[in-house]
Amino acid sequence: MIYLGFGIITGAVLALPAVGLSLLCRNAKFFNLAYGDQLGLTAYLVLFFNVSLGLNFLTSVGLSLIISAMLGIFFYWIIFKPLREHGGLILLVASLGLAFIIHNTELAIWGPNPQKFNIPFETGLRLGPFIVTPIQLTVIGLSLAMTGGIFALLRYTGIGRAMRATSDNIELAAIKGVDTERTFIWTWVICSATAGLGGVFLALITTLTPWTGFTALLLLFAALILGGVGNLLGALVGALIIGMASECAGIIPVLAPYKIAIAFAIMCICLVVRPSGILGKERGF
Amino acid sequence: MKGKVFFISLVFIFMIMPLSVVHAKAVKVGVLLPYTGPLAWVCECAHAVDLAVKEINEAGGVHGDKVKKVEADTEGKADASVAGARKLLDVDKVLAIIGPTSVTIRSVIPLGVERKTLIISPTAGTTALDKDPHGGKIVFRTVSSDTVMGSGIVYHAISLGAKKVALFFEDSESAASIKGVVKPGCKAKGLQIVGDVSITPGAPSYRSELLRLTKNKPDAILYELAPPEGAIVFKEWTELGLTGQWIGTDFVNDKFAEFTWPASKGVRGINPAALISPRYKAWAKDLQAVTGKPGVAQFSENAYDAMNIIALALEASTKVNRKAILDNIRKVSSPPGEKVNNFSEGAKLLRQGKDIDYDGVAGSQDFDKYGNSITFLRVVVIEGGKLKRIGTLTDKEVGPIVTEVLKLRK
Repeated sequence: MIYLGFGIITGAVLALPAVGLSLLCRNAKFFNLAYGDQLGLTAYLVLFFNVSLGLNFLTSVGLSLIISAMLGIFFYWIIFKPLREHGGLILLVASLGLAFIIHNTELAIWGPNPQKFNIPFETGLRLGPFIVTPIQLTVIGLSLAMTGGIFALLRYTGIGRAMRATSDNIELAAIKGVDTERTFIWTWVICSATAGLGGVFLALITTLTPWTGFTALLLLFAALILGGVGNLLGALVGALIIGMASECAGIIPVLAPYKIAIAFAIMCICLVVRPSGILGKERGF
Repeated sequence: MKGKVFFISLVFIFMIMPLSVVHAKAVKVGVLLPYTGPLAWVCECAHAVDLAVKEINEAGGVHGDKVKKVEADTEGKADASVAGARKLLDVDKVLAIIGPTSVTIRSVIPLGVERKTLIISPTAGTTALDKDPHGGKIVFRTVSSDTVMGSGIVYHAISLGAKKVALFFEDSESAASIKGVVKPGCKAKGLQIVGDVSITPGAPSYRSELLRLTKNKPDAILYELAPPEGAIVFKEWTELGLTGQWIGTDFVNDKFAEFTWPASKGVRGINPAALISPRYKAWAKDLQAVTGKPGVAQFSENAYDAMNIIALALEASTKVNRKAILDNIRKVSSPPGEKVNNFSEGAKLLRQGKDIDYDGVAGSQDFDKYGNSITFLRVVVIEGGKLKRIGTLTDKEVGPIVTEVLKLRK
């Protein structure tokens, strides 16, 4: 049971950014390879406000998320919007370039070593068979609440309905009077802020280095494909499965050194057996 | 007539000028280290090369030529190391390379062999070089092999009273090298291995592995972890409320202590280091004047020695080229010869036609058949986010374990 608890922690940390990435894939119609580094960048912004400027942690997170959302719009306007008409492959390559720019900026400013926020260090609490720290509990709660919030946003708000309509058929949505440009901007705002919050959670639970985002991106893609690309509930389920599978791999001596590879093995099996993913209805976006 | 004299003088000046330009050309020595990437903490030792270069140039240089350090970044990756070595050898035309680390040295050796250029590493302890066919010809080390450091870890575990140990190593070349010594070392000294966990770098968590590690209640955990993994592991170790004595390798350094604190409180490490002596203290002061920072970074002593040995090997020859270094490296660093501690002393004796034996800051630097040297070890503990030296291990203490490990590995 204790290992299940570890799996839930890892899965919950991956869940929120996985849902954000899934939403972005569904609406923007490409795999954003810079998503992992956007995730890391926000955590570094928190580090800047919290450690370098000495601001309160929550204030630092708030400011960083605002900047992260603004950066999302900036990247969309400068890079992805002009290239949108050239198709998914060009957007994918452009996002790879952006990932390198962000990664090297992080390296140049903060260096390669692990960083930590200015928050108290905690020991775990025993809750039945589980060992969990207050921060981990908060992260699990917030991650699931935010994921629920995104579901609610898509289902019950005007912008959510517009996002769903745009992702289904952009021309039809435009004919029906949906402001597709505004919808795209909102998609980037929500997904960038989600990535940012996911990055902060990841840095809180693990550590923060310029490679944190990229390593997480690999697991996020595995979760996405496992759950079904573009399916938000699938991304959540995929993240939890990947988290639990990698933690359980740690118990078995032969599998432990291949913890990350296990996630990809599961993804590959899924692609062969069910290409649309566990909850996906059809292949692709 | 005056015109002719002027013309001939002009021709003479032009004939002489290239020679004098060549003579004034700097003697370039390459430093190939990870300046970026997860191993970037290693490059701090390059400041010791700056100190050696400063001392050499203040002593008049090598055959009157100034020495110049040229750097290249390995990023801790094989491809970048090869690119860096190519740049140093073919573009900068360095006469020798100081570096790289265990992680990439084997990718660079073929270039050194091809260009007949010395590669002298102040950091590469990998056991893969213990009997390398190019060792002692092209490849030399001013740092002990991991065989010595691994044996030191086993020695320290025994001295703490451990009977049962667990091993916790990353799945990397550097960690595999140490583990390849620690395992037979434990066997030789009757230490029971009750846990053996390998981890993959880059995973988001190692909680399951930590529980597996402590299942049989080891007295000590012998390990190697890079700073990013160390930061996660020690955080999770404390979160899980686990207790035990960790004894690590040279990865337990100042940066490691800083980034893993407070979770790494009490973690110990066995590092290559110099014996504390008045000479060492004076040297450390000189180094701190160069770095502008307190303390001596890991491998600084070894890097300083490497630079001095190169310069002395050149000074011992009548020529300033790559071959001269390879031909004279043993002559200036090993007995017989008058003991010298720095370039200035050595160069003076060499100019008088005497033999010298350079004894470095890190150790005697007497190379064996394979270009390996034996340097001392220190025991450190992480306290207050910093390293504190709590002991020294000499060859007398570690030597017997080294011998037994070598026997078992045969």
